[in-house]
Amino acid sequence: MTALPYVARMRQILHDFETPTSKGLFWQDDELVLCLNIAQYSILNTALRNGTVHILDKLLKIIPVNFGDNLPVDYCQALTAKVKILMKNATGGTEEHFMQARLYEQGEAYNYITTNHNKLLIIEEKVYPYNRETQSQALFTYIKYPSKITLDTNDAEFGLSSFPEDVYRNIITILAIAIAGYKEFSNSRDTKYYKKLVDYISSLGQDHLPYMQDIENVMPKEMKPTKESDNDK
Amino acid sequence: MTNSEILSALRLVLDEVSQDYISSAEYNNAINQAQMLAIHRAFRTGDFRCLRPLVKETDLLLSGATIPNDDFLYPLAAYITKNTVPINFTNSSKMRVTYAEPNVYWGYDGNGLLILPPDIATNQAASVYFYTTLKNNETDATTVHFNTQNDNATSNVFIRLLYVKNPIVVNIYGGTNSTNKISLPLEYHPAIVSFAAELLQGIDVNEVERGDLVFQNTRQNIERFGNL
Repeated sequence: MTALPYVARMRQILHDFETPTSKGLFWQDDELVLCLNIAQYSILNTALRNGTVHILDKLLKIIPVNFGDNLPVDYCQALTAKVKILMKNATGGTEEHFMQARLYEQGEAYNYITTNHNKLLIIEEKVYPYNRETQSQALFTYIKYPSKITLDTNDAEFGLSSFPEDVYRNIITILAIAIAGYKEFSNSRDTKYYKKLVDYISSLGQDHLPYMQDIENVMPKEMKPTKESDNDK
Repeated sequence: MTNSEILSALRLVLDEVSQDYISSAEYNNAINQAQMLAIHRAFRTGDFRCLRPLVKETDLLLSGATIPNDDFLYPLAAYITKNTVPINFTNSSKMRVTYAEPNVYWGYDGNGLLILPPDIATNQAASVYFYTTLKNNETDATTVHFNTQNDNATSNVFIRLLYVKNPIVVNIYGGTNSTNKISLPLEYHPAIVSFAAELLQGIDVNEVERGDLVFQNTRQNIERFGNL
């Protein structure tokens, strides 16, 4: 997926662009693209966990599988399966039909190996479709991983869209902005660095303190320098 | 996410882009710790989508046999079959077997086989099989114990075990080699990165630096170390 419009939107909301009076950028393009990718994987996980799979419509994939096949490389989550059965037709011959099957994964699948209904078991990284108790083939529906968000036009996944436009624009981008914000926020770690800096500058003399950047916002109250005018009062 | 992307993400959220406070060993340590926490949490909450790449299946023919490669972490499920080797996956003569803690397992007289009172309708005794896993020392291999005889003691039984294995130890400086990557699925990488970042921030911020000033002109109270 192309990252270009979303990187631009992130910079717009983060106010990270060059102006005649403000030169240089705080976030590199690679950092913003990384945040977009982290955001889309995080949202994918949340959607699967909460069952809000309607935003994953573009990620649905249906493939035919044989008994004992490996799971596809881009496999993320199984949805449904239909196993192949042979039924007699009017002329006495047989026709292939696909009937809905139940899905069981890993440990749960062990309970249903010998039960008499259509099923598709996923054990380890392999699929085992059963037409009742007989080994069979199936049509397997699953959710694949989204394409990588990238600025590289030579990347094979550059033009591949995995979500609706509004999900990219209003969900993934906004979460990516929140992740990118961690670089900017003043946290307890920053406070510690400032404390050390204040200790050092205090040793040079009180006059240097007001020149520290963001001193009013970052420093704890008890550490703020006392103004000489306050002492006079 | 590749190892370099994970490292970049950690450095971004920790604002470590322009400085090198955290060492490479600490990055690796935090990533591995975060990965283990994600695995434990997934097992506890039944999130098997997270554990899928770590699920392994193995056949054991003898009670007390060791699990190959000694990478056992959690038991998931198992069944036993009366048939001879090789165990036939599609065979219908398989029976469910239940995990029991070692102390419970060894408490049964039959060592893993419990014969229940016979059913009135069929006049057949139902049998419940148990298995357990044992690891005597940290350096020892994990062994699996089960009763190797069926309820009539007429033939041997074998066990097929499904378990969660330990993940590969991640070295995020080890390049793109697959033996260095995070084992969990891609959608869990953000969670691992965020928790690793929290750990690294904790190392940095909450560390107890000997002799450092806690508040201005106040030293840490060293005598509290003895907890008196």
